[in-house]
Amino acid sequence: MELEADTIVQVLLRERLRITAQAAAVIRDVHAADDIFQQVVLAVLEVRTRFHDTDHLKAWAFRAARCRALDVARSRQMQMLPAEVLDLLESRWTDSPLLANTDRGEALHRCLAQLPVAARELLRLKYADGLTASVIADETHRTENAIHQNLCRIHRSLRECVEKELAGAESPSLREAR
Amino acid sequence: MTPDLRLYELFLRYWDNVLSFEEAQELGNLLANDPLTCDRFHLFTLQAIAAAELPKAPLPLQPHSAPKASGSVVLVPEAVPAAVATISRGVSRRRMMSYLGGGLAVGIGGVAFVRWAGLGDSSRNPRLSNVQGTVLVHDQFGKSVSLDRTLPAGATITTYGLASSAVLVYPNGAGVTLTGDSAIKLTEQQRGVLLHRGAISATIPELATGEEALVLQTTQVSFVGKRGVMMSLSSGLRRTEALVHLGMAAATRPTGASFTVVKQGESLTVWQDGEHKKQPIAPTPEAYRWDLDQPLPEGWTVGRRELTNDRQFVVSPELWPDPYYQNTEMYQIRSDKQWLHGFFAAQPGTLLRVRYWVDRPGAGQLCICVRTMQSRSPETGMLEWNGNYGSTGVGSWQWLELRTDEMIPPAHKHPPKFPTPWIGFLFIFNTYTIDLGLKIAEFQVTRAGAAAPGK
Repeated sequence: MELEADTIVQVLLRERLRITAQAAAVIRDVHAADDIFQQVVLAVLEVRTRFHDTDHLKAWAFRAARCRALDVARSRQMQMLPAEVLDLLESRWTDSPLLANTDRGEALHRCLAQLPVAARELLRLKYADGLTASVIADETHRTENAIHQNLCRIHRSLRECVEKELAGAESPSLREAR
Repeated sequence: MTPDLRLYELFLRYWDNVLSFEEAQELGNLLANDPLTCDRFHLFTLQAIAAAELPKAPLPLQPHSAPKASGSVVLVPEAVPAAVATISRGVSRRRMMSYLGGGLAVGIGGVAFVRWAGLGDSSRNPRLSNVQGTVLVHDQFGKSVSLDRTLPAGATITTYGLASSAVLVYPNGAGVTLTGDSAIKLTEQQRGVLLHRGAISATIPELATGEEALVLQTTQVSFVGKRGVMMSLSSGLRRTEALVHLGMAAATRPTGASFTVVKQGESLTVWQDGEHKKQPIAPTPEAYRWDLDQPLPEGWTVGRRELTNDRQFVVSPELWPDPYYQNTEMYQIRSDKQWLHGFFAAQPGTLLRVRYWVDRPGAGQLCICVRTMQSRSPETGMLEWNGNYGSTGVGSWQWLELRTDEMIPPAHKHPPKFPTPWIGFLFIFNTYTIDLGLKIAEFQVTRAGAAAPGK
């Protein structure tokens, strides 16, 4: 029996973050990755009679997102990771129960909220506005290296915070990043 | 550099598309051979996605009068500095989609439609009118668009600063007003408006027979109005709110399924998870008490809630790099923007009371951003106190008491120029560049003439 459209949408919405992450890792543009996810949902709905179980649906959606992201990356003449590495990432990101843990996303939002305003603004410029470290450096009169170092520390402290949030403790490293 | 930071350096350089050949090999090898690196790359990507959802930094402030005391600067919301305005590219997020014949519309990640007004095919696009303050328009490719031409599909219109606003005027008379610090996009695939952030109000005439509807997107819900409607809409990080002032609008889920009708005098709140609540529009209260027993709401970007040693919750300022001052960091507490409902309705004589602590005395201010009684009017003003925290003592809890009449000093350049009540929709505590050790334990507003609550 084919999957109902509503069921398909529900399944894909549950998988939205992982599918978007897969595309974002290739195209390195969160908004474009979001667009790709939406295109994938439309594409799935247009051929929905093909899908008889959700595993097939998810696998198809993951692969479609990756292919579309690669197309965009090529059109933008971006560096790409080797295909075998992308295979590995796809396999690990889709199979790992750890990465499916929705608590991780919630913990990440809590950790972001704990960051100082300047750190959040830097992340926003980087990922919401899509600015490179070089452009941010120019506009904020700092060196590109300083921006990179700052972003590295923020990302690391967020990761440590998420790990500790999931373990039930607050991260000291976030305080360090403040 | 530690291996850990090196990994993030590689991730970032990959993200920026600036890896050297050797670095690309190094990253490829790490990902291929180390499952932990794969997991960290995954979390890094999730961080990027979550960061892209972060709300824009709070409004930059501009000094507009001479310091009254050492270190004292009067601040008022103003246009975002050019540098910031130019580096923020036009955002193109979460496109609206419709699925085959309009049967199933899929709004992913909370995309929604508002279909409420008819527009002719030939001249469907709006023009800008009544532009106030800094308003920028970019086309779908991020190129700047002149404000005096018909806006192209895909254009993003952004107002910078609380005193900024603009009105989109459609050929059929429909109007969409952007309030300050808001951003919308004219959708590319259908006639409509996508609200990215902030608040808008729309006045839509009755749909004529055969007219094609205007579609307006917000993040969590859509509204379909087939008759004349006047409504306001705000879009936050995880919820959408709508007030229907006149007429009625049908609310539609991202899937395209209609789920409720919002009638005149009603408000609807829809959260990201699909939960919703409909209720009559309540008038903004004349009294207010900041409940610090509750966590700071989502969207609160400056200020940190903490539990003190004597077991009371307080909010302390955070350093905020103010772009207007070349990213000078100032110690500020800024509320979220409660445009639609407001925190409180003030009259001349309304009493504001703040219980605070400072470790050392120093210049500071309390600013209340106010709007008119009508949330659909973009007009704003500022009530402000410029003085010294700790003038009555330091190292102990102090009360600051102010009447709203005292908060419009003679040199004030942005007073409310509209009748009361003034609806306070955002408040700011600021101690400029000096950390006075400010802690706010209480903030109360009492209506004019009422007895003040006991200290």
